[in-house]
Amino acid sequence: MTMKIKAITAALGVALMASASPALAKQKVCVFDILGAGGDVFNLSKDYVLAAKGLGADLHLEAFTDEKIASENFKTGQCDMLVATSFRTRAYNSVAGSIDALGAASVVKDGKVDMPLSYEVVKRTIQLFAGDKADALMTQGNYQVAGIFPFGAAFLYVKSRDINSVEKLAGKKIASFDYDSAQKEMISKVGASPVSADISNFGAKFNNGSVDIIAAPAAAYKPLELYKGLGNSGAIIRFPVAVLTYQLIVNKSKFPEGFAQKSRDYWAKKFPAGMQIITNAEKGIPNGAWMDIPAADSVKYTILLRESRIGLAKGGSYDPKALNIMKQIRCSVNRADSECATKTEL
Amino acid sequence: MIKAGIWRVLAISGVVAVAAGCASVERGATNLAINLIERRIIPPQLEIDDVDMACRFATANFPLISGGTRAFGGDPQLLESLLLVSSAACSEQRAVEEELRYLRASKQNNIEEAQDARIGQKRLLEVTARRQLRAYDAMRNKLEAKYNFQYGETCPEFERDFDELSYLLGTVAGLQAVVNDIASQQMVGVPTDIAPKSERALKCISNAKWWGVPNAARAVVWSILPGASEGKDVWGTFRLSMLIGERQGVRLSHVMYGLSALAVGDTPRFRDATKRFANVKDFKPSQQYALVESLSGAVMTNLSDRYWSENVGTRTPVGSMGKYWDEEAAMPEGMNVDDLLN
Repeated sequence: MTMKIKAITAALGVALMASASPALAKQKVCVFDILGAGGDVFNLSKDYVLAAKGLGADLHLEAFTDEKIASENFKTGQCDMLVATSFRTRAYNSVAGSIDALGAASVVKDGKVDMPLSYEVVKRTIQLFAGDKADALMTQGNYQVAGIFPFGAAFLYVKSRDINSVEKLAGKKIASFDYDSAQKEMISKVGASPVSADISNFGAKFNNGSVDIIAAPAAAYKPLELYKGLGNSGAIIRFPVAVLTYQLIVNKSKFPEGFAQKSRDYWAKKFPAGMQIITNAEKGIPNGAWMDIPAADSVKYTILLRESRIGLAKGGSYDPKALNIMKQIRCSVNRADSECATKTEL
Repeated sequence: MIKAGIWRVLAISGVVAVAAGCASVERGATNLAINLIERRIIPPQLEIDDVDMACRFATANFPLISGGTRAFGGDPQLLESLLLVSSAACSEQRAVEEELRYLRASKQNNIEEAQDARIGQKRLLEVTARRQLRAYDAMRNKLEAKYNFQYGETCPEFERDFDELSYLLGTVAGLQAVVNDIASQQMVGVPTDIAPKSERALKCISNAKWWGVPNAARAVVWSILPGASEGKDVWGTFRLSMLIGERQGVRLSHVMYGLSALAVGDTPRFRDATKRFANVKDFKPSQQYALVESLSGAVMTNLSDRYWSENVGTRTPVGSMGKYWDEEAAMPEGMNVDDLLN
């Protein structure tokens, strides 16, 4: 009798396990990587495919060298998941898409940006968004955030070291990506003129002198040979305008229940792998190319970026809740900052 | 006392002078030997069409040849570059085996096995990228010093084919180092500006003389670097380069065409590359550069094996390069299946 019960229980157990393990259906992933299937992001995505199998998804990766096409394919349902920069993913989740808000990750200490602490802010934000409590924030309609990983800080590359203060940005030509409202806002705020560009030509425009300033991560320095544009008189300002991220967005109905949250947890744990690539790129820039700005100007830049992002949040480009969370995280790593005593952004 | 001092100084100077003389004689003799190897021993080796043998030889003998010639003051950098290119083919082949294991395990949902194979693949790609970067650096250092030019900015005027061949293969190795380092998760830190520099450097050598490879390699860079393809006919360049390669018996341009198609996810073009590779009419492999042609065949097989494994779970069936599981075999003209069955 006992044997029989045991057998039945075991059989039930097996049946339950079978029903609990999600059915594998093919999901197509549109991955944006400027280097296509040979790039860093596509390479990291290959490891993710294996992890996703354990979460009940059978991903099939497809590389796109044009982010716009990748995003449109996702929007029209030709892919079930999108891997792209926050410039494009913001349209599907404004909370996660606000991580790269102007200056939202920058921690300034003694008039200098503390890069490790700034990346720590991004890390903590990603960890917070990875948790199950953040599920509601990470879901907007049928779209869900299934992962965030760092892509590096965007720095200003200037043709001349004379452009060393906010005031001197006035009248300068700055490359601007048409689809990013934050760039236009910033450029007009400092009295500079935007020059329309995209990812395939902004480097060339800087190198041939069509523009005086571009914003780009360290990863662009070598492959786009931006040292040519810097020449002997240019510099990279060691003050990040924003910290860029890559984000994964899923069409919720195509994935098993709970997939996105577990997937966000996977990517939060992959943060060090993303940072290793960023650190390599930042170390690859010779010391002489960097330029630190005076402490007083750091304060001016910080205020300028803060005012811009608050303005953009009011205009609907950024999510105020996300800015609020990031401010609290900034203050948790740098309590002494004067902004922590104010109600701004809260 | 002073006299003795002078004698001592003279004696020491003499010993130093003789030693320096010996060193210079040694260096001269070693460089002569290196030159002899480059002119007389390498050409017949390039005629051997066995990639496995060549890469194992290079891997096993690199320490002896490099260390031995350097110990006697020689400058074996071009020889080292060639040996490293060859040796990288061995580690790359092992990396592909791990990749195929990963693809098979992944298909069977054996996640641990697949993850283990991915780790194995990345480790071997790191070794490969390191060898390829060293091959590129050695070529660049030696040739820049010899011809007094700036790589990627100005062109050298080559005195001999061996230097030109080293320039071509070292440059391609540099490009491969970039790709393999990224795939290894940037374990080496290969500078990515090798890609645009190589693109310009390849303009210095004749496309017609070197099997269409210089332009095909440039087209690879055009197709992957943002903005580089503007005003360029990427696929037309591949087609022309393949034609040149087919006539000269070296199908390395075909491999580059296939690689580029895979990088941008263009499956029809990748299939086209393999079909074209497999179906060159009256193809005669180059005798002089049989090793380069064999290497092209090995790499093309690797590309095809990846594609097959990902889709079907096995590598390319024997004799099936350029044929695919989902393509129906066409009935010979004039034949009707119903007639045959009746």
